[in-house]
Amino acid sequence: MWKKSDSDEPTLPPKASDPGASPESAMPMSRTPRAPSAAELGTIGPSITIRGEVTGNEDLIIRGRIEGTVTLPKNDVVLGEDGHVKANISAKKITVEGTVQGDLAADELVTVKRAGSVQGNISAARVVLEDGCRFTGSIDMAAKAAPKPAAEPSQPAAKRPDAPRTANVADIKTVGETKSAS
Amino acid sequence: MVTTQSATGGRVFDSKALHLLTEHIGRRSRRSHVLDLGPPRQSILDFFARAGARLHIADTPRYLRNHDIAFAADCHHVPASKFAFEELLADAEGPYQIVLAWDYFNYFNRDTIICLMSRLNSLCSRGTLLYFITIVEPHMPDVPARIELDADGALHYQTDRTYLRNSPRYAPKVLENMMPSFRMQHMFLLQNGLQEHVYAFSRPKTPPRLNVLTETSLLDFSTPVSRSGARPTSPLPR
Repeated sequence: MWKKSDSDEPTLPPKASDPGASPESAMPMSRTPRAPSAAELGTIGPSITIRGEVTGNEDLIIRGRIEGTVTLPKNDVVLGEDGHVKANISAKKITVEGTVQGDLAADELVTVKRAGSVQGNISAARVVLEDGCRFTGSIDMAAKAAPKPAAEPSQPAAKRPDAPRTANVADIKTVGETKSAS
Repeated sequence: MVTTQSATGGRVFDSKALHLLTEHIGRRSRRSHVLDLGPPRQSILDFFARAGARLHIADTPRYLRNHDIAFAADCHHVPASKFAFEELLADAEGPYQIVLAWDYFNYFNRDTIICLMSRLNSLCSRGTLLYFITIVEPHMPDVPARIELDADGALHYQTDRTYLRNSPRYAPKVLENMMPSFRMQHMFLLQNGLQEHVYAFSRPKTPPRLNVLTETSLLDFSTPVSRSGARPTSPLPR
């Protein structure tokens, strides 16, 4: 049986901090690398739209809209079913359940889920296309993924005086909380 | 009325043509680029990634379905198909060393194939190999097959034979007329009325004139033959 939380939330790979995720998780903190906590998992909510560059050092779940670039080279990015991204994404692992218009570059793995839709090029050590997914573009599994320059939509915007400022994940969370509070 | 023994069927072939394609990739000192006109399939991606090629997926069936463009079942959509192939392959960056057309030519009429070939002229270079499958039986499934590849080059050809339509059974001469820029290199007879073809791109040539205004010259295989007598709602696979 599926639990409600299973169906509602996009899935991230299990972390060392998850109970029962791995034997190492029970070891004293002093003997293991610091595991990311819940506070280090950023979420862009469904009502949030970001235009600009998203960077940071924590895993990210995108359920809103982003136009620009997403660069998290040491972290995982999950695009939820209701997420829409018109940007190049660069991360360690990328999972797509929503819609992407842009290039994806991952050091380890790109997964396009059944509900996912990608229009762009993928570069990663390993690419998984689930049956029924939508994809048009090129896939390169040999070249080592490298962070792409800023996406074209964001470049002209950055030169304009009224261009949106660059935001990091912490900023995004603050904006989201402010919106929901008001 | 045509009856079939089973509603669905899957066959596995040892594809000699696919071996040729991987050898073609292996002979090149530079990275090969493969244009796949089919939908995204993990097994096909893995097959060509193992061979060291970069795969471009165009997903023709989904594009045509989204634009209400039928395959050969509706000849009146031919003018749209010329535009469609320009748009469908707008992001394609040639030249490609291999083009995979699978069994789609059986579902394209003459003008549609000419339109596709005209677009491919700018995406191919000398020596580009075009791979496709033709059906030599008088009837064929109403929708293209689902094709998967094994690591060893076995081709899984899965069809839904609930509805059948007349097969165009293009002769090699007819095919060469429709694609003057290509020359036949290899043809392999598979079992169950299937043939694999490998054509090589020589140099761009002016495509033949379309027959769209000459109604009588359009191929007439627009009426599918079904077991139940009901016409399927969509000629394209979901």
